Amino acid sequence: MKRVTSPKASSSKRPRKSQDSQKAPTIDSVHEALDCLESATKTRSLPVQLSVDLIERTARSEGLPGDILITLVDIIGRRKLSEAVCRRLIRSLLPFDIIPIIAVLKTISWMGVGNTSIALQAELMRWIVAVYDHIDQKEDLHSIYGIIFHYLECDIVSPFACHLLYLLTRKEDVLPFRIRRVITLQSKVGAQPYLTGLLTLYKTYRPDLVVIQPKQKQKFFRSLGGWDSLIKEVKSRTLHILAPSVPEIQYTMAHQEEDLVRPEIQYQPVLGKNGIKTFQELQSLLENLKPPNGILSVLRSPARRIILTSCTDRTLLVRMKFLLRVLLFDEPFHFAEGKKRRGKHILRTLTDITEELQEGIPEVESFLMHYLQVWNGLQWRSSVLTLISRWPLRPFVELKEFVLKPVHKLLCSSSLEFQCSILECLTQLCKNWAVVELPRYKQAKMRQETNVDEYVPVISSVFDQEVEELDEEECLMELAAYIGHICVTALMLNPTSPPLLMYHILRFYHMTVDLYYTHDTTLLALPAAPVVYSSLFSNNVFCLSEMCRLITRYRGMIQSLKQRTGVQLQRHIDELNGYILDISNTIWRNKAFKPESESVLFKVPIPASISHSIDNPSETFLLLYHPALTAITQNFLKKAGDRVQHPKQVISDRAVRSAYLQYLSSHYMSGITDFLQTFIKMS
Amino acid sequence: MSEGGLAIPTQNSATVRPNNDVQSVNRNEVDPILTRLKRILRKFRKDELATVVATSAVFKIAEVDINRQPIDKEALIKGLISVLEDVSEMQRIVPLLELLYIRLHSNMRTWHVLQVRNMEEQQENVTPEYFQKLLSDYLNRSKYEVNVTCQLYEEGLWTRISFTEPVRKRSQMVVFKESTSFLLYYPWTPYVLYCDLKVAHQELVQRAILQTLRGTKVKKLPLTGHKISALIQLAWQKDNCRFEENEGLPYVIKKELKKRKPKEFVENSNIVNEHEHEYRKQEDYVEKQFGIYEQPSLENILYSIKTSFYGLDASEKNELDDHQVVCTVNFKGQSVLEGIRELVCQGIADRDLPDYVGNLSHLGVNKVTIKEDK
Amino acid sequence: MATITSINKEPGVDKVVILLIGGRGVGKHRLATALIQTRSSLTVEVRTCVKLPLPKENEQERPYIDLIIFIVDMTSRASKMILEESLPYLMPECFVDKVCFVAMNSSMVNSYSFGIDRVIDCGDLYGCPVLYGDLQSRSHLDNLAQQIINQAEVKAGLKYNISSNFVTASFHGP
Repeated sequence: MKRVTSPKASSSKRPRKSQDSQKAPTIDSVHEALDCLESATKTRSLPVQLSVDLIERTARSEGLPGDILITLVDIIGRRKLSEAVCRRLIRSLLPFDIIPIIAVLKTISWMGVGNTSIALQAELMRWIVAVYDHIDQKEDLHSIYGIIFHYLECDIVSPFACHLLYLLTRKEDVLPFRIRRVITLQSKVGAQPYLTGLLTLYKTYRPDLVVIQPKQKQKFFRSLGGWDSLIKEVKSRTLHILAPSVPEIQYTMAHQEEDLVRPEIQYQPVLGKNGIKTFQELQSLLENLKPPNGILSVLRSPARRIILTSCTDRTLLVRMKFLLRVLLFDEPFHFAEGKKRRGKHILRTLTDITEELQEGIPEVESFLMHYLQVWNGLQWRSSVLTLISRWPLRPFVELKEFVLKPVHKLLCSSSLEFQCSILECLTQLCKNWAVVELPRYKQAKMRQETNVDEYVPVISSVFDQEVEELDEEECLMELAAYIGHICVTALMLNPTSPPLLMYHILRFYHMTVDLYYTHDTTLLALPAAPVVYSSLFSNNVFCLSEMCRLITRYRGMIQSLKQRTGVQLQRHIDELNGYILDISNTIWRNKAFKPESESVLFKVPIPASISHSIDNPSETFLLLYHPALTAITQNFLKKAGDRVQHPKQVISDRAVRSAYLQYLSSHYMSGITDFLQTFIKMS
Repeated sequence: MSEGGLAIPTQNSATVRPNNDVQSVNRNEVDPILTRLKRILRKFRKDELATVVATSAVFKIAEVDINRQPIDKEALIKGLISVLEDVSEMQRIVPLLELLYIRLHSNMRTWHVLQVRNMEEQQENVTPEYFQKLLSDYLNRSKYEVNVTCQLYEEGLWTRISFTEPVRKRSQMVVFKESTSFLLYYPWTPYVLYCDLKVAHQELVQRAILQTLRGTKVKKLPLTGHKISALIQLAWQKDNCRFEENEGLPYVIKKELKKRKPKEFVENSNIVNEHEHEYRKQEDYVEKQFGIYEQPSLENILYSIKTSFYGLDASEKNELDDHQVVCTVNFKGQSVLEGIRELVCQGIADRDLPDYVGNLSHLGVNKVTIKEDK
Repeated sequence: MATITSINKEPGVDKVVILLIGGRGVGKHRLATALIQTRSSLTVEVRTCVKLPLPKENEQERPYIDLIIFIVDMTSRASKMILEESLPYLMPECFVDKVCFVAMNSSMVNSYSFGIDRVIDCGDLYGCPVLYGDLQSRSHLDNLAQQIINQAEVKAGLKYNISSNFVTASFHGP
């Protein structure tokens, strides 16, 4: 029986164990195996085979760490073992995590020594290509570009060398002599796909140098045989060791365009097979959310919106802002024929979100600032108007320049309906500012000044933005003044003062008074004179009635404001007094058109032509004779029947007068009666 | 139209060969032909395969049901091939299929124009067989092995010429390379169009044409393009001034002539053009210059100038040899002549166009050398 | 050279004459048709021309022009050049209340040949309104036509108690 000499016996490091000679030699660890291989002389010996088996097994199951790889490469390179063994060893060069660059460099240098056969060189090159992604620090590999390029000459190694160069080439590597070399090679061996591939890459980098047109083949490089699957296998097994302990939830979804695929939430099973069972888990894992690039899809679903907005992670918001910016600016969805729907869809989604959040998104705001300059008033009208009404609190100059002026210009050339929509939108804007933005601004400023983060605000912005220093009350006042100005312009553009317009204008003023009573703002915006007087002399009874009611409410508001100190009221009081005087003179006191010092309207005496052609001009707009109230008065007189002999009794007879006023208030004209009761002393 | 020059094999049971013969046929011979046949059949679109079956008598015999929906192209091709029994049939059918393909897709190739001068007036005798025989005879006297197929289609003689020559590849292998080119000749016109003709074979083919058509001189016109009728129209218009006056228009041009649609103009008394007068003048000029018919579609026009600066005396000229002005302008598009007309209509090009821009349809050239100083 | 002034002719009653100035292919004819078809209580007459100055031959028959519209195509630089060349031929008083700029194809942001700010600056410089329109969509064209008619009514003085000066002045705020 032949005694199997254990190769370990020749190794000086290990103590000679006497048992080894009797027992069959075993290789237990990879290091042992490596030592065995290093010192082996005969390939056919059992220990060598065992070592190779062990190494293979280890590599397949868990991959080899970097230093072992280096040693293995040395062993292969030295070529003391047979070809078959070397091949098996090459196949087990599967990495555990990364491949150190030294291993690759050593490979190439061993290839250059000339010990290895060409087939082995090809195998080694193939290995490098297969594990290319796992090499770290590829810088050194770039510096030996030329050496790898040299391997193009050899027919058998050439495909893999080409593939490696394809992966490795950068712009500075594309040099004329190299291109010439490849072209000469091509002419020698024919237009092989890998050479074509390399040439195409060169052409991409330097189209000026490569003039020939390489033909587009389908596949440049051969697939790497079983390498891919092997590496993947190893990787998947080692993944759990390397992965972080917190699971990541990732959305997967389809990007863009018209198909709105619902995204699914994919969960990578990491710790066992449980998914997220409870909501608490979801909450705790919210930090790891990664919204995909299809920002629109994320924003469209209400659930995801809530998640997005309640997440405290700042990076998420920043990402969302960036993606919105890309969506709105870089992807001009303004017109191309097929994208009309998309534009509408985007804006509608954004409008919905804005309404839900009750606050404007900053990116949308900057987009609108550009868009309003070129808006033609028709495109996406409702969305744009809604977004304007949710404008955040900014210095009034900005608002005026970018929003109010363009809208005003549009107003001057548009139809009545659009003018009313604009007025409605601006009313809403004013209201939002007073109700929502003002408190939000105040709290944000307080938070900024005191720098207290634990302070939990009641109203806060989803978007973390620096607030500027501005006088918020002043801004609101200016806004209200400008809206009043727009009302006047609209009124002038429609000289017949249509009821629809009047309704919207009066609604704005009523809203400002409401704000005082409900939200305690100190916004005092009296209607401009043209508004008051067109309502006074209008043909529509509701205008008259509502105007009277408005004046009455203003009185109440100013009276309660007077209690507060620090509010400048004198100017407003004078103006209001003027209105009250004029209205009472006109509808009750028989003094219309008579010049009086405090009156606003009747300062100028009426021209003689009018006073001569109409008798009793001061009586023409009494309640009794008012053109707006003709129908009602007539009804009243009809109903009264015999009790009233002459219409003038409405003025003279107290009983008839009170009956008349009651009649008015029962027919929704209580504004007039309230006014009269407040301001006129009825004896 | 009629199909010329093809003998239809009759399918008798007597000529059915036993299977052994098919198998004993040389594999090397069958396979390339088979692949070529498959290749050419695959090139056709599905709907064109219907034309294939309809026009080639061989396949008609096969009861291939084309109207069965949906058509699977591969199955159809297999069916067509299975009808053919032996190599010689395949060899016969391949040139015809290629000719058919070229006919259907003539817009894909670049055609060049040759003009034959002083042809004898024997146009009546030019039948496909005659043409084919003469050409074949002449060409086969050369060092190449030439195969000529000719068919008449819509008054034009479509000819396929294939040159086979031995090519020495690496080491000892000798491979026969075959190159095909196509000719198109319309009798009654002095023009022959060709495409895909190698430079080495050009002179040979020109001489062959000269011999066949019995002309005295053949000239290659500097005219290339994709659309055949346009090329012929341009060449024709060069030799005959205004074709509206000339009644002898070849059929091929006549069928492609399209009258221009007048611009839709809703006349409204409330819309007044201030520059009416100018506008009318412009319209008149355009109509006079470009005619009422649509321009023939040319894809490419090249203008080149090579001259030196003025005001140089002889000595300076020698020094400034490198400082010549070499300028090339290339107009490219679907129909360049229409484009030039549009330029004038839009007012971008000034009204009085120089001859080489405005009168292109009568120059009959593709490449214009405006100035060439030696 | 025939320059347009506002003094030497009489305006028509209940009639609005609009002059469209713009290069070829910019859409004048389509806009003119849309203008005529807009529902309005006035008769609209449209005159089109390619550039100023207007030819002398029509001087006699030409009616009083109420509104001058310069049409610019955002995708064509030539039309902008026409605009710049024609502007000097207008008398200054016309700019006060007669001129309006229209930028066509304003929604094709990708194919702009020059920036939209040039047009906006032009409007600011001359104190004239700028409208934006599109030829592709029927509704946009009608909308533009309606806007132009509304402007024309004011500028022709057919609206009671308002003039275009008032409108321009109102832009500055209360």
